[in-house]
Amino acid sequence: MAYLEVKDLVKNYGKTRVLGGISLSLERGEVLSVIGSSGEGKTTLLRCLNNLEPIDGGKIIVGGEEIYSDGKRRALKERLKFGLVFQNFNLFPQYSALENIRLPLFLSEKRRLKTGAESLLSGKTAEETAREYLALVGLESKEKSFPSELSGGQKQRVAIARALALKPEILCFDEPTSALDPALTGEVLKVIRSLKRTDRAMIIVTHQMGFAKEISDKVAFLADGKTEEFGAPSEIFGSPQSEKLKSFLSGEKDLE
Amino acid sequence: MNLSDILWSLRYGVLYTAEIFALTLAFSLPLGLAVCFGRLCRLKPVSLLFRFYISVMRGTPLMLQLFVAYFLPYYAFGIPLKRMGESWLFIAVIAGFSLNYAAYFAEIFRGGITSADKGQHEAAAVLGFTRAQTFFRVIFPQVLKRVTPAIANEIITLVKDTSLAFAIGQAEMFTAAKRLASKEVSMLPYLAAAIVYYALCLLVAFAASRVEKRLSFSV
Repeated sequence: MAYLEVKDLVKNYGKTRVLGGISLSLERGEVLSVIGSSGEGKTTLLRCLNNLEPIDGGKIIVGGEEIYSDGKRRALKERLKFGLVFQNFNLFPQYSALENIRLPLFLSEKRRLKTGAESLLSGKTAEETAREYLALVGLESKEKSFPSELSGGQKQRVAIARALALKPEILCFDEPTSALDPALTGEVLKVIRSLKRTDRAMIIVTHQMGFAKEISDKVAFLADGKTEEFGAPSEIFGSPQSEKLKSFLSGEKDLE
Repeated sequence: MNLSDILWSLRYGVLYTAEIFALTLAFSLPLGLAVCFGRLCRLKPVSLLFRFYISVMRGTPLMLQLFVAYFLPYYAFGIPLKRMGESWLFIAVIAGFSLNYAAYFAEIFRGGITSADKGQHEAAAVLGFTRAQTFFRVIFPQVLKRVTPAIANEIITLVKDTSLAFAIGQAEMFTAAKRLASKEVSMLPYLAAAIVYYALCLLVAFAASRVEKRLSFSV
């Protein structure tokens, strides 16, 4: 069994079925890109994985254990296996770039101490660790800046550092560059590229086909709330099977 | 009697006004937040109860509410007001003001809280914040920033509303000014009172602008 298994995931909003059977699998160290037209449930999939939406059917299995199955009791611990980077960053405007990273780290460390879980800080303070993550995304000079003083690309890099600092095992990106103009897209993609590591999986919802082709180990194409095709990028982009994927890819090519 | 003599002889009244003002603020702001939580409660009966409370407090005159607060022990429980002790009048004034202002503050807080960006809640959730941490560390500072002008408005109104305590005989500044005016057959005590009220309001406005500057982030 793979590290992350999603089986027949179903999600309804009222009577509308948004996800009607998503299945995919991912190993640690792998990068999965989720592609598809707008409104096909890509974002909803990430929201379900991060427990922002309760699921209506199917299973999410991480490391052999089904999660979110017993209501809210263990949800917090399970949700923290995932990290999520939002399309529109959602930095906390009242805190500096450094504090945006330090505060969640500090609070989670407090909880870890209480529950006897392993520390995230390896002996350093939350502030020192936050500073390291800020340096990792190349923003060590901006630690005192407030989100309103940062460019979109810088905001997204802070948001990535903030998610990364909690050491999620599966880091999710929800169209991380869609709110950015093309000039700023590059710096964010560069950071994401540098995050590929053996002990962490990443799931990226993206419209950047070139980027998906280059960084992914697996690609999932969603259509009508289902995984229409799932496989290696060479298969998905090289020899698409379904008509839907073919027309989607040719449409994307026209745009480029 | 010149203006400075008058101001000096109003000093005890000013003190009472300041006390009513400060105590009402100290009680009504936290109470307002509590009422706001009640109003936002997901349990329908609780929410309705607080809605009713707010509508009564906003829908009846403050002066009348002060009367009710003052005479309540007698009419509700048959306790003669003489037996309520010397400080009852002052307690009733503070209670009346606090309960009334809490209703207004609650609605201001509610506006601030419900207009908070949903993304902020979600970001806090995926970062493992508890509900309390999300509220106090993430949402409330942003609410504070958004409601400061409206809260300052209410506080300035409160400075002047303290004069309503006159109606149930609390000797605050306006009462003192009125007494002095009839004793001296002069309008000057009213002018003195106006100057003090105005100065207090300026002080509040100044404090509010300082708070707004401290919360300089943009939401």
